[in-house]
Amino acid sequence: MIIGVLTFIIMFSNTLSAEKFLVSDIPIQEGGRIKPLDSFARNQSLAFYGKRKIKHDNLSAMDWLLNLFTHPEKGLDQKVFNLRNPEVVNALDLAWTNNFHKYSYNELFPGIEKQLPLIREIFEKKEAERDVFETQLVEVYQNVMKFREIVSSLSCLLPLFSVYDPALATSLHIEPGQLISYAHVMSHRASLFETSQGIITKPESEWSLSEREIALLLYNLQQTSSDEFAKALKIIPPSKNDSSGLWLSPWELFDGRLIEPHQDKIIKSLEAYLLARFENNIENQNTALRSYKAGLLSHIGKKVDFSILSKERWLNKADLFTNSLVFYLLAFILLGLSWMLKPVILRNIAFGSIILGFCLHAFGIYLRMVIMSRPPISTLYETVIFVGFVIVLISLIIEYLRKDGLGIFIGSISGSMLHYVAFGYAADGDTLEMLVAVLNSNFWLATHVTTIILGYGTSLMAGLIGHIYLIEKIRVPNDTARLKSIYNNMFGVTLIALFFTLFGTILGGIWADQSWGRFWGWDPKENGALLIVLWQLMMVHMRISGLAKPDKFALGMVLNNIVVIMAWFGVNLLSIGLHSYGFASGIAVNLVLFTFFEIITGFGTYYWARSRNKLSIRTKNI
Amino acid sequence: MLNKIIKLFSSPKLFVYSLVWLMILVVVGTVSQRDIGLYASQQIYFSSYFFFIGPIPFPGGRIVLALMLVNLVSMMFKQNLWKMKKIGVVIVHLGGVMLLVGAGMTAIFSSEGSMVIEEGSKSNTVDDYNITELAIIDISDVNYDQYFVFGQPLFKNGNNLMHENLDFDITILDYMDNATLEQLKGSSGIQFKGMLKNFMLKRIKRDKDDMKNRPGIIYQISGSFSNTDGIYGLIFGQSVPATIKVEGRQYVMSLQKKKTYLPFAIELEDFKKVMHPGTDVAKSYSSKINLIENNVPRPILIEMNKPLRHEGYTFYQASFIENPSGEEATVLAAVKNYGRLFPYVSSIIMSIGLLLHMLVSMPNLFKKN
Amino acid sequence: MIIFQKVSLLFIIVFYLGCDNGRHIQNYRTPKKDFGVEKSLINEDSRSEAINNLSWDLPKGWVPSKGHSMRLASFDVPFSSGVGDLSIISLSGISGGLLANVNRWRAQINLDPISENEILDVSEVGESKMGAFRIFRMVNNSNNEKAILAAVLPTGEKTFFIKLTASQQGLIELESIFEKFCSSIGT
Repeated sequence: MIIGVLTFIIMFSNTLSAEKFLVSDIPIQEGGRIKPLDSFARNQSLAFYGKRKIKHDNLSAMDWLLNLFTHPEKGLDQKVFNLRNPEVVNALDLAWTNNFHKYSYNELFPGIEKQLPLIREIFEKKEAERDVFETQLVEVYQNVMKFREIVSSLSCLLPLFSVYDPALATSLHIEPGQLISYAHVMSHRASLFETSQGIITKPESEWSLSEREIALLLYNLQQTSSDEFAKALKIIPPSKNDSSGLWLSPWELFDGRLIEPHQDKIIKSLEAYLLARFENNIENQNTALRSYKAGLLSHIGKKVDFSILSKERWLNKADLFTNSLVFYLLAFILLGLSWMLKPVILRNIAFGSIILGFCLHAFGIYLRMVIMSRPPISTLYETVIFVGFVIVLISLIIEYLRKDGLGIFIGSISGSMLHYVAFGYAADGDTLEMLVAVLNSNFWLATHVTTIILGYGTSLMAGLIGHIYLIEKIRVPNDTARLKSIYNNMFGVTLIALFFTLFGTILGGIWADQSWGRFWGWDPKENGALLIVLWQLMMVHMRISGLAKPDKFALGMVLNNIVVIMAWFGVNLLSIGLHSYGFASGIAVNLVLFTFFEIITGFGTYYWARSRNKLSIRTKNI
Repeated sequence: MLNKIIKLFSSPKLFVYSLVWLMILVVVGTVSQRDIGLYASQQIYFSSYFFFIGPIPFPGGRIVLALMLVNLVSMMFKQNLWKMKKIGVVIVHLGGVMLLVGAGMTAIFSSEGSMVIEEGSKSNTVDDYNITELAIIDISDVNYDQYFVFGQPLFKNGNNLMHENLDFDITILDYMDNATLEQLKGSSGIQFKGMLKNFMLKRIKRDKDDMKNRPGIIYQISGSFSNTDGIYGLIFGQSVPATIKVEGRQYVMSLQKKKTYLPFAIELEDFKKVMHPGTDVAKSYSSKINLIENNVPRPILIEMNKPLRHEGYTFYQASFIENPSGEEATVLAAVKNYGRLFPYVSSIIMSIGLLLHMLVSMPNLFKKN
Repeated sequence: MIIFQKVSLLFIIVFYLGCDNGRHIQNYRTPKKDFGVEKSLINEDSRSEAINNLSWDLPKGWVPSKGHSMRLASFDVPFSSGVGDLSIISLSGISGGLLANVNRWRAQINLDPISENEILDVSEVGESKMGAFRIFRMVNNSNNEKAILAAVLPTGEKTFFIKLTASQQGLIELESIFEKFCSSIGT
């Protein structure tokens, strides 16, 4: 059955590549990699607006972006900047009154201009020294600057100029009255130069009507060319002589350099596309996109992988992890219902639901791996997703063996919680990012990080079973068989966890030795992993030596969860500093809450179980 | 009697208590890094035998690990351990012993430093990352430079540094882990010479990023019975060299990172870096070098994750420096570590042991209900 | 067991006794190395002059700022990740020499001074309404938050210095527009 599922997954993902080339698929180079324009649009929307689509206008990120290009004046008035801080809003001379706390570029820019001196001072300070207000003001400034750059990036391709004079029109190879772009004029600048000789030699009073029109055109061109600073859209592959591999933004092509045939084709196709979108002509849009793709194909150099672009675009839309979360939650609810009402059939549906969630989860991981061509555990976000995957997988196996809902319980809770944590990280920005050089060694990356992640997953499982053990000890203190079976599972999972964390930590040392020359440096990440190993070693030895009975062992594994979470997320906070706001403080708060929760529930259930035990012994002896 | 001692040293209880203390050390040491940085934290909590909180001494990392080693070895002498059923456990613990022994060897016998080599130049010295030394260099001779080097452990206030071939004495007045130069408003007293005539060398708070610390030293030269006698100051990485002349000999004085001389030289032919396009995130770096020993050059490529191993040293591509005119210098990490192979062997042994143990005990733990 | 402990204790004692200060003093010879003892820093001051009537094409987004009294003009120049500071000052004659000024700017961002012939290597030439100018790009790689783009425009009696201070990223983004701005300067 598993083979069948796998084949289906691979076949399905291959069909994605056969789809036609959409505007969302247009490749853009950003963050060191080639991604589809759709991802760029979503990331910018996230950065400015706080969500990956413009919700209150009901616009997808891609549509919003295209509207910015074709109707920049409207875009400048669109309320897409999300300002969360009333102080910042005040500093920019705006009112905090509107319900969404969203503002447009035109509303923000005058305030920003006024505050430039203050902003410059803030930039002189180191990031760690800036307070909340300063950090957020700078963030708004950078967003506004980026927005301006994006809006201006394609102005060279927009049909902005109209020419009525017949002679001038002929020299530009157009009909009188036709709208043309800066790019178009540039490609005919030789003949334009000839026709404009008159203006240079004669004084202004002697200009003919047609010469006046030329002068006006030249003036307009000059005004538009002030947009040439805008290089945000790196959608044009470099010439074959350019060894840097850096893609170009349309305005960069008009600095006097030689435009290669493939670059010219892409520019013209994009221009045609924008015009067709402006006129709402779907057929012309499709023709333009086909021509665009042909232009990309004719580029000699590192080839664009269209199948990966369309996969990423599909991944963006499918939002697999959200859907997976929904099925996990559904499984949990169904399980709860199955305990209250008719057991068997509801439990089976719950099992089905969690399996479905798991398939979506696994597919998402697979696609990410294909798109980035690296193991799916390279960033913190990916580790969270992968641990969820591991725990749910083991839970499915446990459910298959035990058939009593324990597996579904563990899997649905862990899967949901970890997805929720991952969403927190996804809100930060693009989750598909490039790695620094030292992380580039795929072999050690794959082995060390995978092992540690498996360690985290199994440790958290052992902790969860620890909770269950203590709860069962309160519920049915006399059912020794059941308690022993749960205890055995817990101890077994702990041994597995110990194996993975120990081996993973040592592999980490070996990776460090291979890359930097020292096996162990006592740095926070290493210390965190070591702490987990030591704690588990301690619990296991306490159990062996009789210093801890099963219930104390269970408590120990519950507390182990705190150690794991601290090692996984907490160590990152040490370098950021606990003073900064935004997401870091969000993590800090959640860590503290989680720690308190585990301590209270752990010790609470432990002492409660103890007192119940004493009670039942007393009643037994009566 | 012997059995009692074995029992004490080999008990799991001792292991648990050492573990607990080690965990406390790890937590305290890690949190302290936020304020004092990695190197200082290592020195105080992990590489030390004892550390003090107020007047009370506490065991440091080395004592705890040594105790755990003794505990582990003693445990091996337990009779009832050597059973077939416990073979996995035995192997794991043997692996643990290896790991701790390796750690001990590294702690005592290894050294680490950096080599900065510009394109087209060569170097045969390794500079320590933190420890400094005071070098008095006699550059009078046409054919060679003569070095008189005094190591950092000697920089105690009031200490006299002397050498039989040196015509003057040096008395340490102050050594600072991190210092800065402040321009003097007026002029200083007549006993201040060199840089101290116009600048004050001031102690500043240690930066927790060790790369940013610039040590400084103030010392007095006496015994030359000339104008040269006086108080001098040096700061690490000063661009203008400090010079004095005594009895017709010209000396350069420098506060530098402790140098170790290698029996071979490394010459950098070309440094290459590849960035992720359009970002300043480095994708990979590499150095094309010539290893020169006995005047015979051998071309080698050092890349990230592919170091050069030679004569007990391992040279890693650590980083690079680029100056505005485009000249590049490679920064190599040079490590000499005798205990290097222990973790590799130990991890294999421990994993085999754990796997064996799990194979033996798993069936019982996961019996179907 | 007792033997084991005795031996390890002995080892530790011997190890500590083995420490004597003699091993911290060394004396050896090496082949000749250049310590740059003849090098000296060029450090001259420049004086201010009266204000002149200048005009230029101000690029979009550049906002006049307060600056010092010595400056003819001062602007805040925004870019994607910060705000640069641009100043125009004029000084008589060749004010301390081109070399002195370049080295003064270099010192401002903690760079070592360069020599006369190196100057030609690190500058580019541009053309403005008032004549040719030289642009210098100064970047300190150990601190890429401070970099300088400076243009020196000699016009016979006065020399104009147009200096832009920004981060290294800012310099990359603003280089071409800075050049355009300098080209547009006239009377």
